[in-house]
Amino acid sequence: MKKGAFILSIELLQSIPKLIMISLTIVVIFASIQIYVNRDRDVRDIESHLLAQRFFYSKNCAIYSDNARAYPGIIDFSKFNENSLGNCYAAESNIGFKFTLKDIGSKVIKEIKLNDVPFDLCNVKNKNFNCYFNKQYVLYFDNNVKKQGLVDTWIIIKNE
Amino acid sequence: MNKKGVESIFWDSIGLIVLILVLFLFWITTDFIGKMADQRYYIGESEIVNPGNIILLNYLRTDVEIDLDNDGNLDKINMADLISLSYDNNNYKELLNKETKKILESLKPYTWNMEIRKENEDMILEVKTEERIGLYDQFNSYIEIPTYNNKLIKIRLYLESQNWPAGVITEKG
Repeated sequence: MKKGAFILSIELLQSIPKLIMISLTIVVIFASIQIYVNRDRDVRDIESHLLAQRFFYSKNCAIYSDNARAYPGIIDFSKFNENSLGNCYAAESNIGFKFTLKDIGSKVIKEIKLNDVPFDLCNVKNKNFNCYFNKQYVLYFDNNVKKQGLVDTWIIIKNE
Repeated sequence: MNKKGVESIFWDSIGLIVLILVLFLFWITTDFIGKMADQRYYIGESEIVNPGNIILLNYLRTDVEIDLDNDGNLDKINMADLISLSYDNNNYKELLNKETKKILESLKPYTWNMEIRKENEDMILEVKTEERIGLYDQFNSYIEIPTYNNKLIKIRLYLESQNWPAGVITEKG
């Protein structure tokens, strides 16, 4: 073997750790960028919030409205039924909803369930379902009489 | 091994340590940026859908009965009117306190804190439950209403979703 060739192969051997480290660095940089860019955003929580808010803001749900406008947060008791709420949430056939209207003393006045999803699943720590609960202070019109009440909202979304 | 070879091992080791440190710093930075992004997303979510706004709005709309003109008959006014009357008349504060507590206590398991202040920040009324601990979803609502004599009243409602029903995850993170 020539002397020059011997020195070259020694340098090649010496550069192996450096090559490994450079390769590792490149892999880590690209992997980090990929993880950051392609990260999944978990929107189930905000989706549940927004679905719940529809109940309190949309006159197509149970919100009281006159000829002029709708009144967010005030419920028309005549619209608080399965038919109206079913139309309001018609597109969400795979999501379970439960709305419970109570008086100010927490006595249940009426409860509406949509899509027949068992809400007992929320009592179990289960990653297959995302449960949302909210409590709202509302006013509701029952035969043109304004009353105080509370609405408990349960939403259950199956994870895909 | 010659002197150059010994030097190479020395400098290569330092180089490797520096490289590992750089990678570690890079990992820390990426992780930190990720958490910051999540935090911004979380705050945005609370801002977009704040259940406290409807609660505060309905609180102000709630009717109360009080004998305003001492004729023995109860007059119907709403909470916004009652707050306005309480601005410079302490006689209304007892009813205001009672009605406010009645409404807000019905909101359990929310914990809450309501402050009603004059425009110079003097307190008209403060009602609250236990201290908020800052680990759960928090919703802050604020509104300014005028009084009958053109003064301003500031109303702040702080809600925190502690002690939520089992199975509902509201804890941050």
